[in-house]
Amino acid sequence: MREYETVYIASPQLTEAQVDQLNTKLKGIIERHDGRLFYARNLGKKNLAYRIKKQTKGTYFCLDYASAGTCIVELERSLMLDESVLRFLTVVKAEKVDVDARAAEIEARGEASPVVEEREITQKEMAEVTEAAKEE
Amino acid sequence: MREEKRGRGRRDSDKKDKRGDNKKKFQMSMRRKTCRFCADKKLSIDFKDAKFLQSFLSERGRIIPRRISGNCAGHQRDVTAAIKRARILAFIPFTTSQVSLSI
Repeated sequence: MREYETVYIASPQLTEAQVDQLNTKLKGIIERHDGRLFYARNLGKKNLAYRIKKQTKGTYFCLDYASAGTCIVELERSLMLDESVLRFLTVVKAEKVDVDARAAEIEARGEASPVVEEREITQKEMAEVTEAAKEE
Repeated sequence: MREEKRGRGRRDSDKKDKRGDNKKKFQMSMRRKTCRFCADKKLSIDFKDAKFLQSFLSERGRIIPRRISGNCAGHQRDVTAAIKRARILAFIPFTTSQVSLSI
């Protein structure tokens, strides 16, 4: 068992029901492979840094879970076939993971809640960031 | 100890003395930056944090070299990996020309 993190960008044109359907489908795949989902997070609707499939915005989702490698194959396949997913990336977070200990740790930090909305980064904030970078 | 060194320098030829002074000035003006990740162990590098990664990018979206950012080799490697992942997920641009295209 390894701990993985998958981030995917859903098309902004999807309705809430369609997004829920996509999320439950992915969670179902993890459960089917005896994986353990630590948290699923909605990172919010953000402006993309460049256009993907002619879209300038996208809704970001983040899954953190422990599972076997076979789960990743199916998860990535279903993400690839889904045309409403603009892009996805899976990253190994830890080679060996004690599932219950990790779940307790995330629970303790209060990150286990399924959906955490983050507000969109405004143009003004982006300008501030680039200015700070310039000063450095 | 510093005075002792200076004294030794004066005894040498003028040319050598000058060179020694220059070197000293150069060293004083160059303050060695410390790696901010080594200094603060709690600071984590996350590819989802676009705002934080922006501080390691130039205006054109290029990665700032280690000699300027002051990161240690290991942490610079982590930052670079995080930036490349963030680029794939369109958190930050590959080049700034892409920004003007999309807006």
